Amino acid sequence: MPPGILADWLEQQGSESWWSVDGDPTLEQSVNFPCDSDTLADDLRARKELLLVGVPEDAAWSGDAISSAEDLDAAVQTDEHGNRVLELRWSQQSYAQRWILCEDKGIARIARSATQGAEHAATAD
Amino acid sequence: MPQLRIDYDRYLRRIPTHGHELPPEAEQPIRHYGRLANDAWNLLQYVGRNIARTNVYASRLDAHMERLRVMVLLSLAEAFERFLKECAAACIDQVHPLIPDGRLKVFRVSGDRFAPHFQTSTLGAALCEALPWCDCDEANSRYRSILAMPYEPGDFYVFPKTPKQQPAALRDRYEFVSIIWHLRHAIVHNRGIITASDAQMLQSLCRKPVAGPAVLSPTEADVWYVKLFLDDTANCLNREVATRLAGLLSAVHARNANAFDPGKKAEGLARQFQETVTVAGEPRSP
Repeated sequence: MPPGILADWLEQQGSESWWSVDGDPTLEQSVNFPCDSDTLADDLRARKELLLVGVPEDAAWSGDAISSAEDLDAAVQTDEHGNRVLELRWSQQSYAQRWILCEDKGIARIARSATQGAEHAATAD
Repeated sequence: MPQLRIDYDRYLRRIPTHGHELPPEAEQPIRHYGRLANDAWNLLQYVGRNIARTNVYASRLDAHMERLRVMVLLSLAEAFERFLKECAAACIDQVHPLIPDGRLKVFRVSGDRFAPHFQTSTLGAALCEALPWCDCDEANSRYRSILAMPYEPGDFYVFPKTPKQQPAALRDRYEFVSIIWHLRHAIVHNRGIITASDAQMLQSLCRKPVAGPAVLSPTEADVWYVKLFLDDTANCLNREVATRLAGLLSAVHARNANAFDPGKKAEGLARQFQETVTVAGEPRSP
């Protein structure tokens, strides 16, 4: 799939969701993780190389190719903390080089609380 | 059970031979920093995510995760120190053949530390690799000298301390970076124990009471705040250094138009610093 589809999907999750990429040298060199959906979506849209998505065996999806952000929902797994995880690789990467995109609800909570704290402090000042 | 007999002469001496090549991004300091810092953060997340799938002894898990957070905090500080070194080395390699004004006198490297670099490294790497960079004043002194305009004392501070020091974009970071260097010191030299003297210094920097002796126990949020701050500082510093370096090279070119091809120089800078720069009127983007 074109990386723009993943960018669309990330934006659909809301700008208050936070994400980390573990294992992809290209993204890890150019984006400071964890980052919010919009930051990662912007970086992905600037890329041309196609992405391959790992679909879990028990996924309720049997299409040939991911053609929209909605298709991606079927490939999403959820970890014990309720974070959404996608297994991906760029088309030039081997199967062994696959990497994960993982939501970070903990950081989203900290970010929200830090923002509210800053607003509270500004009001108090 | 027979007494265990380990051939330390063999096994310990071979440990340094277990390594692999630097990744390609090591030639671009900001990309190398990004990779190292993200890797450190991912270690914490990976363990946290996967440990949740197992049956764990909760009391031991808490203690081990505390230790892991300390190690990740240290890794972030080390990634930033490495970035300062690589960035300074890149600057030296750009300016030293062009400005013979004694700007490298600030580097005091003994011959035996310098000599091993002679065949494989650059001058910048030889001068910067051997020295520690986890002191804001020393880093200021070195960068100020490397990036000074020809035959001037220099006015570029990576960690400006006063409102008059340049560049403005890097102001108000000196104390925060110093806090991180002190935490690094406590982790590396005292296994995370904040000694009474550390506490005194940290109290002054943090402007609040700090207990010592005490064992450092950062939360996950603490580690993230350190990463956020260092990511932002590294990106800002990279941008400011690239801009100043391009300005310095432009000044050199204005004095001697035959010194170098400004287009090629700008191209090299843009690639190495991953920033858009202009050298003697020639703009280039990465």
